[in-house]
Amino acid sequence: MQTRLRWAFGLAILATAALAAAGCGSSSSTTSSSGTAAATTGASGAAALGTPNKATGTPITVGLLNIESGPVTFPEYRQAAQAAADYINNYKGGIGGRPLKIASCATDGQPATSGRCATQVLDKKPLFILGGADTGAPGAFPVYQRAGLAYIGGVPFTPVESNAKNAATFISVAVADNAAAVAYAADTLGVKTASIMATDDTQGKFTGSIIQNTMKNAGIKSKYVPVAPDAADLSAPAASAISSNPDLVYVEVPGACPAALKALKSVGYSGKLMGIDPCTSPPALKAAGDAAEGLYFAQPFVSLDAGGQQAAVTMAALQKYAPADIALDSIALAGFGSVMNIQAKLSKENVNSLTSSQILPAFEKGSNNPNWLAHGYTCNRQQVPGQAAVCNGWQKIKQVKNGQVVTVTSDWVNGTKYYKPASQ
Amino acid sequence: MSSYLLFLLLGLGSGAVYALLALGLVLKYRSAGVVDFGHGAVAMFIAYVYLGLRSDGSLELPWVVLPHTLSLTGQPMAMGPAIVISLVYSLLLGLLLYWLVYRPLRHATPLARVCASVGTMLYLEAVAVLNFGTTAKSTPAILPNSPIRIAGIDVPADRLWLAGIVVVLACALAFTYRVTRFGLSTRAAAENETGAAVIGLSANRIAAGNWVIATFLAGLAGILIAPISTVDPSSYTLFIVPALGVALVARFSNFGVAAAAGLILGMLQSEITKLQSVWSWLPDQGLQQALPFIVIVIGMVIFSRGVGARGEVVESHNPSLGRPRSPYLTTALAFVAGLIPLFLLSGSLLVAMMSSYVTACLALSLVVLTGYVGQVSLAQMSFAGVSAFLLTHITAVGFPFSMILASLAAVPIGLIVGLPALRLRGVNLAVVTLAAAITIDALVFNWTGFTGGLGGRQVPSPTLFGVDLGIAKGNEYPRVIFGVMVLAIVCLMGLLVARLRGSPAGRMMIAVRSNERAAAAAGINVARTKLLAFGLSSWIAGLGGCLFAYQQQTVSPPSFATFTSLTLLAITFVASIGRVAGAVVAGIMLSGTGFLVTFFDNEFSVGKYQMVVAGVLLTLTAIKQPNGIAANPPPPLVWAARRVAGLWKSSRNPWAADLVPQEAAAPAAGSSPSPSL
Repeated sequence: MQTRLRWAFGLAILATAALAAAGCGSSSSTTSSSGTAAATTGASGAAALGTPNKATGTPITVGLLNIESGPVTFPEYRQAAQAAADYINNYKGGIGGRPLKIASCATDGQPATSGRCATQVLDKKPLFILGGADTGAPGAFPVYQRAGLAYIGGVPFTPVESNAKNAATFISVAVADNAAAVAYAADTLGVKTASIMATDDTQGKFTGSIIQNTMKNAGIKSKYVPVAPDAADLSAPAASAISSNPDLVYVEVPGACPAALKALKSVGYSGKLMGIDPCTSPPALKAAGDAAEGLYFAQPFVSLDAGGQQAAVTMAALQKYAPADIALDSIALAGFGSVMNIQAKLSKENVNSLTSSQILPAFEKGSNNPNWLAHGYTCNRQQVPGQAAVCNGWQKIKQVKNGQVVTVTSDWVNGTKYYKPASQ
Repeated sequence: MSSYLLFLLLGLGSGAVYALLALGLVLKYRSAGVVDFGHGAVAMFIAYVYLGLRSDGSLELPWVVLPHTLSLTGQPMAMGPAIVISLVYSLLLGLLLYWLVYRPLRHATPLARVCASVGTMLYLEAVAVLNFGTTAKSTPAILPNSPIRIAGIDVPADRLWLAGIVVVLACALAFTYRVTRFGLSTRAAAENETGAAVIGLSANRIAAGNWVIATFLAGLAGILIAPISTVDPSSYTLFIVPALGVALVARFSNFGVAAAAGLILGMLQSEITKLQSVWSWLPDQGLQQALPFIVIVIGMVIFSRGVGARGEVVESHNPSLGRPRSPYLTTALAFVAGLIPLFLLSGSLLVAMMSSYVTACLALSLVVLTGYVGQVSLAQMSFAGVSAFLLTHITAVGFPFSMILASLAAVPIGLIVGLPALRLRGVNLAVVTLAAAITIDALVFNWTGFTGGLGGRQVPSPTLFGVDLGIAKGNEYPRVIFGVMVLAIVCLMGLLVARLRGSPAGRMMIAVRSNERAAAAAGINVARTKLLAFGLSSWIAGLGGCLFAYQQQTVSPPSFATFTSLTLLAITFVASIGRVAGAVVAGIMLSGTGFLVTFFDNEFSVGKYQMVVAGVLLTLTAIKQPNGIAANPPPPLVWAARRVAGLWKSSRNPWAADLVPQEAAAPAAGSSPSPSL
């Protein structure tokens, strides 16, 4: 009897925790949305959103896999995408009068989990897949392709979604951003030698090789310094990176960017710094402190504080519909922008008879299509070398100055001419 | 020459981190006999507490869903008070963890303690991910960090300070445990718990006191590491691997050796960074990560006596074993029973059921190795990965020969990893295999030519006599025929493992598990038996890897990352690591991609809370039911089975009357094993 009671007690606790978790998970967005809307949307924000125009038709269901558990998470992508969906459903009449419904599944970066999640969202009969931020995407793509579903938008972390025949994405990760930064280093900053600090894992090797390739073609002599993912102190790799007196140190260690920047400062480096977008998210900048000062990086989006109608709408919609603590980084902008681009494109189609097979061709129409907060996109599978499914290779070059991110190029920069993948 | 010296000095930072964590690990093992995989996670959580106090004066609490932030001052707190409050917090957290988790496990098997510590680690990591996010955070310097210029390059002074603190702490600990009454009492209780009790020492209180001190050390490490590294939910857990290696070299007993080994390991890793830029022939990947494994293996050769055992009042029992009866009939029935969901389910649940069968195959490899022989391996998914990737390269021969060859390739790797088992066993072996898994990850899975890099490699569909057995064909997905193939293979493996239990080889394995010396005295070749188990286990794991590859259709390195092996061990232990039925329960009920988890995620969307629940469930099961779910089904499950059987009975099904008593008659913990496979 005692054993039974202990088990019953234990299982009751677990069940309560699981149900509480489930309840919280299902209701949190609603609660925070309304709370945020009432509390923070000011008159100017409401004006930016425009006149309400609620969608009332049959919902268009789209699947979304997003990484929200495990060592790296991007909940802000789903939060921003959901905020954009709420915005278009309430103010833009959805997609041709039909509300957009996002059926999401939380992944943990493991391809097997993403494969499982892909089958789960398929059960909900989506019209297509809204691309997410998921490093386990290679596990999900065979499922999408088998079901004949297009994959639109998202943050293409791996070569699979960057090249899949059923995919079209509006920004480039790994190739166009690094290529643009390297092009700026070579053409504008006059860099001739550089050291690349890259994480010694599959992701780091992939991106590090792209940077090396691009630097070589841009005339920059580079030195590759691997950084062990379990390294506690990066001062040794930092010292190795600066030992050859390079013109520039390129930091490509997404998980430990602040530590790398601090290590470079601690070993006395004060030369030019270049890095990747995750180095400049608000928490990372705060963590790096003045060690991030002067860091150049490329980003596919116009800054939210640059003004303009799209920035105003984005801010107002996020204030109204997203959780108050959403991380306003480029991942969030990718989530918001993907939904807005989908709405803009599919609203021009006959939405009541849309089938899955018509989705991808819709995005392949035309050139220089409007891209939310980003350079126009053209889905002709030729925009970015080695990333056939990426429709836009243009970036803005930005820099950390006085702890703030400022845009240093008025024009868009495209450095993909310097990237020549081995197969080309 | 000066630059080589410089890199040695720069390695003091990493070395001090490993040594700081290793000191806490040694203390925990000495006092409570626990190799605490959650030590790094505790350090990480205290670091977040410190960051919270420093940033806005708020105190972070270790749970989710409920409010988890307590505002103390409403404004950033000064460094001194923040450190003091964080360290007091670590004392309380240590006491709470000991009371709730480790005290009930004082006489449990070492494996149960490991699983509890893994559960704690998963819980704290998941709480950190949900409450703080995964973006790295940091804090201003705590120690003086003005640079000291050596050979033209600045050496940050805080690394030297940190190394100095490690030396002072090691000396203080060594002094305390050699001279003071508390230290001597701790040693007495560790050496002979019965004797300590006779002279009036409470081993429980002593262990609690030590655990609190060790958690204090973890907290101190977390706070001091934060400024030179960054704080995120996973990095501190990675730091624990080299720290465990260092503690193992110190035989989990010597503070001085732990401190020295930690500092030396850090310096060696740093020197490798230098040498990589000097000697172009050195590979530019994986060397630093592989170094702990090399250090551990060399350390084990030098310290050939192995890690000393602690004296305990009650000899801990290994997990109970199943005693298969009528294995052929049971296998046939299991195959038929396994077919039913394949034909009844569809969509994600059908895929999940197939995934459950694959996981069951992987878990069977642990039933052989850990269940039968008592050897703990944290490299099973590495073996599976090697076979899975090799399968994509074998094109000269078709299925099933490609699968057989690929799975056999895991055997020599398993034997190499198993070599340290000739000197080690239990959780100490687990540390070695964990380091081996990291080495395979760094050297093999990072090799793009072999694994296809981030995009992975496509897996050819299995075809036999012209019949496509793949999970997908054209737009047909998922295909039942694939599930039937996997089920057949898993049933055959189950039959093999069940038959092994009663065979001469199996009896030798169990004898080795029970008492190696007695087994050797009885004429059993212990070394050969252990290596046989490693070879067989790695082959089954390799086979599971091939099935996994066929199911996924694409394989990429993250699927076989180091900590996936830890998860596999944990779910198999919870399910019942000594039984074939345990492997089945692990696959169906506990696997993250299996049937039950998918069902719950479909119904309740608990995906992002999965790790929190997994951590609690693992810890709870380790405490309440160390023999696993399959050995003693929890009463709610028995009740549910009775209800189901009752329904069958009411429908006049003649099986029901026989089924109920068997399910209900599951033996209590420690009693004779159930008749199941």
